[in-house]
Amino acid sequence: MNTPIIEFKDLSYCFGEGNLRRQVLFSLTGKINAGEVVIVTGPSGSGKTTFLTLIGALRSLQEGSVKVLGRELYGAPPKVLREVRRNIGFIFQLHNLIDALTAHQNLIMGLRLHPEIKSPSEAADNILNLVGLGDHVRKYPHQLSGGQRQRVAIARALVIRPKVILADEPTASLDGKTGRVVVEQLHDLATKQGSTVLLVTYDPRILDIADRVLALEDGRFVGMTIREAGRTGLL
Amino acid sequence: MVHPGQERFSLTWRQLIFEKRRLAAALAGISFAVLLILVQIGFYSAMNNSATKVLRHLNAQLVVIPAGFEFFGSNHDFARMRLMQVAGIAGVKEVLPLYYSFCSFKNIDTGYQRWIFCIGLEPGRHMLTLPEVIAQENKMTITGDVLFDKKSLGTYFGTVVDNFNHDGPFAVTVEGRNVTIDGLFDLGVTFAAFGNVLMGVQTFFELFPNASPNLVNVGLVRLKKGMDPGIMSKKISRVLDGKDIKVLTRAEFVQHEINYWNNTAAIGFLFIVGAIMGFIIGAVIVYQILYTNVINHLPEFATLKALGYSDRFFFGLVLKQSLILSVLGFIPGTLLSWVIYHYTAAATGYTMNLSLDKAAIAFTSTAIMCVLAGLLAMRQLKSADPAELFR
Repeated sequence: MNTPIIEFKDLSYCFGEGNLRRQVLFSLTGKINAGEVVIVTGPSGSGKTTFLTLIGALRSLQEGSVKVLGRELYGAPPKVLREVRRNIGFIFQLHNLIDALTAHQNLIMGLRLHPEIKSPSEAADNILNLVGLGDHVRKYPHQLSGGQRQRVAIARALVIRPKVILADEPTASLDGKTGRVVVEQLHDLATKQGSTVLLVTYDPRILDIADRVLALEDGRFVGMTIREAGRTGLL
Repeated sequence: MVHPGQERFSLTWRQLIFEKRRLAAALAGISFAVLLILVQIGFYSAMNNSATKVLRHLNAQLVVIPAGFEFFGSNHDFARMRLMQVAGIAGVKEVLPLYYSFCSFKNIDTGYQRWIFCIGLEPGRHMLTLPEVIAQENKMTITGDVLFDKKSLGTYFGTVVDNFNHDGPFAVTVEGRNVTIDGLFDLGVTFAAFGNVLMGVQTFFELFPNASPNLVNVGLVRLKKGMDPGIMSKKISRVLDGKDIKVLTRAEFVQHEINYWNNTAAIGFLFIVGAIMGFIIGAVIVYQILYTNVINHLPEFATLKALGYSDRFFFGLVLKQSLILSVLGFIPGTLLSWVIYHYTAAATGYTMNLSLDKAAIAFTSTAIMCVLAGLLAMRQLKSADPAELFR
């Protein structure tokens, strides 16, 4: 259980150039173990989305090291980055579904990169059933509500049975009740699949689903309990 | 609940047809680009075709022209004696003189004098391979009888063709003399003339008493069977050895004419500029369309990139979308051009021919524009981290 699946060390990041250069992350170090559900929280502008995109190989590292599933991302060639991305289930702030494809087809786009999953069409149907969208399989994103779309996005992330799920403010565009339902679904399914979850949110109502909460403020981890800090290996 | 076949779909195609209005706008733009190119090269080639039609139908492998010869119709000639010398060279079967001149033609409706192009031939010698001319050569043996080009501008010469079709042969006034229009043939307007009249040499010199049969405008040289025109052309030039004449193959003669109108007279140049403008405007339109297509889809591409798709996948996708758009835009663009060709031909007397090679040029250039535009727009995706591209 205590194998680290994500490790980051001295991770710093800056936006802009020259006079406009602004550091958003300051030498973050930590570990996330297999099967953990970790929430990164903090106010807007604290750098939590930047942190998540760095972990997810969606942004090139500038300084420090990130290891995901045993692969170093710093200076990694495109092939390795693709490989890492394929093993991560992403859920974005806005659903980011392909408008021109049905819910089912959106899942298939993900599955096409995973030939190891046999009968992809069935797998997609099953997972859409699990998130309660069994009747909406053939609908296009614009025919679905915000909550339904976010559930399609969750289904798309889960259907490839990823070892890691990264979620960026998955409840941001949803009302409190829908947000809660969506996050609980995400939590249950991920746990059942044994996936590690790293979720970024400013929504305090969902913090209780986490095994561990990392609080980011101005690019630094703050206010962690000693127990938590000990578990991350910061102490 | 399994949906068989649901996993087989093409993202390329789905994305393309998802927004019907955007697709329609893209196709309209690309059609317009195709139309611009096709109409411009259509005009260009119609002008060239028309200007060289007589030349291309000369029934001889070689021609002798005076040294200063500018274009078919320019006021240059050479001594018939020189042509007779050619007749004596081994390998030459026979020589035939051709005469031409601009002359005044009295508009049959208004009575105004108009310039028309007159060509004098030896009747019965099949000097032109135009079928209508060959069929009516016996009419040119009658002194005072001429053939009238039915593509001559009606607004310029009057309702000659209608009159003829209605009443048969009738008299008109050329160079102040009465001649009979005894038949029609099909040639078309050129850069030089709005109409053409064909006649036997005896009629020609009746109309132009000051002209001399000893001064030839173009000499036709027919070779014996199996003689190579290129070799014979050099040989004849060598034997004649003079600065007063030039010997050309028929193809060289045609090219000489095209060069004159394109380079010296710069009339053809206007159409080349038109065609290039058409291409550039078309390229800008197509680039705008495909660039917008890629930019609009960037967040979706970023999502797919996050799933693990490679840049190559997107290049393939955009390449396919660009090619599909160029094919789909080409079809209405070509149909529309065909309509414009038809009406232009009817209005101007030019032969507007939507040939396969023109369609191929238009399609190739459209496809190249589409692919280049798509790939240029793709640079946006290649350089960026996926995180930079999300909405």
